[in-house]
Amino acid sequence: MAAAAAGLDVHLHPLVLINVSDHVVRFRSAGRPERVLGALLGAQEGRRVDVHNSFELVSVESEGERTIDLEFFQQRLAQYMEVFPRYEFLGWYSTGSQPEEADRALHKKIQEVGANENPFALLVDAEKMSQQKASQSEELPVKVYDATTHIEHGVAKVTWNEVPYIIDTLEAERIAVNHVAKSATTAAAGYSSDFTQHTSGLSNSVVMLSNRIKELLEHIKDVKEGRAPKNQEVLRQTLSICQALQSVHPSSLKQEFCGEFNDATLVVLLATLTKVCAHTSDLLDKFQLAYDRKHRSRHYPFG
Amino acid sequence: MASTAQKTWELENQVVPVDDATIYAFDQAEQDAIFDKKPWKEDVNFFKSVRMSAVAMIKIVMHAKSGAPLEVMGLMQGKVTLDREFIIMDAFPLPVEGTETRVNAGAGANEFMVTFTETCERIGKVENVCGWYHSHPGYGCWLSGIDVQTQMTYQQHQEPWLAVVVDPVRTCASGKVDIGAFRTYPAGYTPPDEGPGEYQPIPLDKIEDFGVHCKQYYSLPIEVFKNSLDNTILELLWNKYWIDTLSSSPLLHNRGFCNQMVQDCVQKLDQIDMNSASQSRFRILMQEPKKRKEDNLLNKVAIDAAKNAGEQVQGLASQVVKFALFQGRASCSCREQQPTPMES
Ligand SMILES: [Zn+2]
Repeated sequence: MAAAAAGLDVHLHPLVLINVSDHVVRFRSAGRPERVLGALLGAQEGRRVDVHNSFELVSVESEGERTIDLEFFQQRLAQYMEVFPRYEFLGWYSTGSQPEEADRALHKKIQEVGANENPFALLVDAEKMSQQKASQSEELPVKVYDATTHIEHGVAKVTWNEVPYIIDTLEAERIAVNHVAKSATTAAAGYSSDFTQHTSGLSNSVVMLSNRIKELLEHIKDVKEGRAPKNQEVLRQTLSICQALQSVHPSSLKQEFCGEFNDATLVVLLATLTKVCAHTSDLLDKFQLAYDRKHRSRHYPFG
Repeated sequence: MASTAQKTWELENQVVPVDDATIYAFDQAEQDAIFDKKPWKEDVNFFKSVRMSAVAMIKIVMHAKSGAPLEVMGLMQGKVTLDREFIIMDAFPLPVEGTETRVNAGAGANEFMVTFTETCERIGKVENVCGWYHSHPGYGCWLSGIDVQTQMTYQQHQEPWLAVVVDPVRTCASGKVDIGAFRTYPAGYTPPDEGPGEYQPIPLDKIEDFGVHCKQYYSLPIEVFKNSLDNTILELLWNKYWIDTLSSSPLLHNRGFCNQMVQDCVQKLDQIDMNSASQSRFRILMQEPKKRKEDNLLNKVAIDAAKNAGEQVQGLASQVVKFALFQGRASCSCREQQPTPMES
């Protein structure tokens, strides 16, 4: 199973993290120091796993044991399945920097009842995150684990393997997250145009890209001059990126781009024409008004 | 990162950071007191604004998106304050989807709602259900005749109650969340005429429905708030999802919607053309001056078209940047002139 997990492609969506954050802070504000527990939902297609959504679970922790309210779990799961029929149960989330002893039993329990033989565990290090001042290089203190169960001396044992994941956002998700990040109000329309906001987002991304490329370049220079250890994996990936850039067919890309450009400018032209029509009509009306008044005043000097 | 820009914006707009304890504090007695006082009975405009948590906002948008092109519906949990605010803490989906006529919670949805909310207290969610949301994929945020009816019924029996409408298609097209919050006026109440509000394009087949009911409700501004952890997560997330800003292709994504918008404009223009043609014949016959109703419509279509064009230019900007980045050396002749977005 570990081998299968190593080939998995885990995509984590922001809603899950924001949901966990809400769960953690809600408990903290209510003076409940326990670790939170919840279920992960999403889609699994072939080797690609998308963790889209999550919901809170009820758990009790006493004397090193975590028990989960199964009735609540199954009811909620059924409810979410009803609304999101395409999703399936993927695993559970909790807080902490690494899995704890009590999590093994919990994991086995979830494995038994959940409709998933090989659930994931997502751990959010809320403590670390609360103290963290975000800067560009820092990683999310979030880890995804996959568990292997094997029989040792007649007892099933759970071992954790960390699974790499990437943050993925769908178009709508990115827009929503951006909206929240800027905590924009729908009323504050006077702030700046949509276009300015869009381009500033673009420019931020380009700056980010250029920073990353610079970092990579520095690293490769260091390797070349022997200041940094040679990491074959990194070098191989860099090479494949460079090759991918070359393999893009310039003429087909250019053609596609020109097509898109023309379509978009055509829409702009149509809009301009419509606007010209509206303005011409306005002008005509004014002209007519002026002319009519003059016309009338000649006939009815006192009207 | 544009942290300076954000700081400036926060200063300009007086975004006061809220602390977690205040956000999550919930006092049922206080809510009951407000409920007993029923200030919304005396003042139909009692509620002035909405504050929505990050998690509720993202949940609503994602639910609406997952349902598109069908309409979906859900409920919101939160509280009200004597400062005339709705504070929306969380939202949950209902198993209802369909077209406008069907977006009305049936018996099944009611049962779902009851079992769902009964158990919320166990996971620390103590807020009451205080509103509903539903989606209008592609036709903007406003209340239809049925929505007005639904909301009026809720406001009679379930106060305090808020209606939220979100448009997932326009959200993707414009690159910003298209969402609105509404409260209806009691039946028979006529609001003072404040002139036309903020204009938004409505497709031709919905214009009548919009026009008949648009004076029966008012909209409330929505502000999003974040808890302390959200802030850190969002900043860290940006380090990851900036790639999606570059890799997304809004032009491709919104092609269908753009076509729809162009068609809608054409239909509206056709209608204006037909009306004015018959009118001008009438005018020649009666020798009457032209009526000043038509041009208003023409201006509105121009705004619709400009909005669509603006979104296209926005999408094009992404493509131009990408093209320049990854195809920089191959100069393209069609890239000499940059169109500017039209001001509407
Ligand atoms: Zn509706």
